[in-house]
Amino acid sequence: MEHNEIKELVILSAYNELDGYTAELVKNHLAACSECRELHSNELSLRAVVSGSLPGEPKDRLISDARLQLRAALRLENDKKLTPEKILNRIREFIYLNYKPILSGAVMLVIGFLLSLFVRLNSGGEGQAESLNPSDLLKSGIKINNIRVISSNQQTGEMEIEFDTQQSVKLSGSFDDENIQKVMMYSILNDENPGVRLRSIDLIDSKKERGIDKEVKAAILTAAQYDDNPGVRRSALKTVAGLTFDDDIKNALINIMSTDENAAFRIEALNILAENIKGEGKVDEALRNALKQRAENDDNSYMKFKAKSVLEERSI
Amino acid sequence: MSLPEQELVIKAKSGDYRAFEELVYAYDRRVFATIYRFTGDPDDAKDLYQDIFIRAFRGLKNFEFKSSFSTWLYRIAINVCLTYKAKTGHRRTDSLDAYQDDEDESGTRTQFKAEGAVSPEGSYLNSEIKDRVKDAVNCLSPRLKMVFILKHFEGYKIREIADMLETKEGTIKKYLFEAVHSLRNDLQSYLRN
Ligand SMILES: [Zn+2]
Repeated sequence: MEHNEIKELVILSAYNELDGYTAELVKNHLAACSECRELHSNELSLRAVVSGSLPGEPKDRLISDARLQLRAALRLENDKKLTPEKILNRIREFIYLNYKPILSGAVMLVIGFLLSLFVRLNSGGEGQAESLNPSDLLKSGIKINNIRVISSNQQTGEMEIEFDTQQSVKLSGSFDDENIQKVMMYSILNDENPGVRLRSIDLIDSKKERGIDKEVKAAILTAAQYDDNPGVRRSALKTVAGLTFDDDIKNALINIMSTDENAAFRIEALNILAENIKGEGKVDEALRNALKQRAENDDNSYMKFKAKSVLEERSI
Repeated sequence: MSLPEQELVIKAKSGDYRAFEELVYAYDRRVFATIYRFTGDPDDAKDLYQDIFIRAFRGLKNFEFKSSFSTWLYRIAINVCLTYKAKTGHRRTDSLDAYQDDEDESGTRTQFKAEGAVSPEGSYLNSEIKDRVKDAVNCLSPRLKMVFILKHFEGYKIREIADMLETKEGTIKKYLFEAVHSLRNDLQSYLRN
């Protein structure tokens, strides 16, 4: 290897960017050439000096400060997008533009939309531009609830609080109305209040024999798998049990059976699966693997036992 | 229960800021470390951090899974850093303090040890070296400095850095060589020979 070519390779070698062959060539050259050896040692020394002089890993305190500020900014960002007027307009579009005459068996829905508003009460001077004036909000008559303190600083008196505001909107229409189903789907996926999500799911559950929209089904499956609130997941899972079994449902149930932190839900998902594959022959590979996993690794002994017995019944 | 990244991205794309926060927490330590080293100032780093993630939140609707989410995020971070102008005449006056957040838990400062660079003056020279290194790094153009930090501190492969800066690997190598040469020239007297 040429002496001149080595210089840049020495840098790349110090950064582990050489393939095995080239690294070997460089190594051999260094063993034979004192000038390049000096360059290499110089390079290592530079690395050490630089590494020791710039900041190390940032402290947790710095990161959590940054996250707290970001959280506040994100909420403001979110509130800019979702003003009550905008939500009302969205609902009006549903109702007035697409509304079809009420069909028989109309249901009445009242859905409270909760808007998370962020208020920053700041005794200092900066960062006030986007905060909203609480007294205006109170005068507007919008209901406020669920106030919580995000952070407070005893020394400066600075604090951040967050609360929900509620406005009620009435919709009338048939359950079969696509728009009504869309609003419910929206509520299941986006409403911040678990009680509202739960009521929407229960309402769909009570009407499911009338047939539900594909998107509503997807919303129910999402809620059954991922809702933070166990009550909402339970209700959604109950609704899933009553739907016509298909691959989407099967996959969602496999996921719940494998990942839900609550053993009762994992067991329930497994039961629904077992019930629905009764008539079939061998189970497919995805399900078999998931069952195997459970039979071997589940924390819950009943779950282990149950998964094992379903596997045994099915593998004949 | 954490959603797979793709589902989080989809939720966040629709404006779900909670899903977005989950995504942020997967990557923000690394992003923060980069911008902290780039700016050398904790307060500036916090400002940039916020700027980066708010831009990401706003821009997410245009994210089309053509790259990984983390590469996309790093592109934003890099763009924000490259247009960053150090705030003048504030908190940086005590330049050394800005860097020295490296106290260990007992509160004593970690002594910097560079082999062959310790003098009888001990800590005096150590702080002098730190200042000189900081100056030398700050003398690099923003682009060279960024490439150097991504490679030297964050340990990214040249290929990954090229992806983040949307340029060729050869260009990144060139930047890296330039950065190293420039630092070597500036810091020659502190290096072991
Ligand atoms: Zn040589």
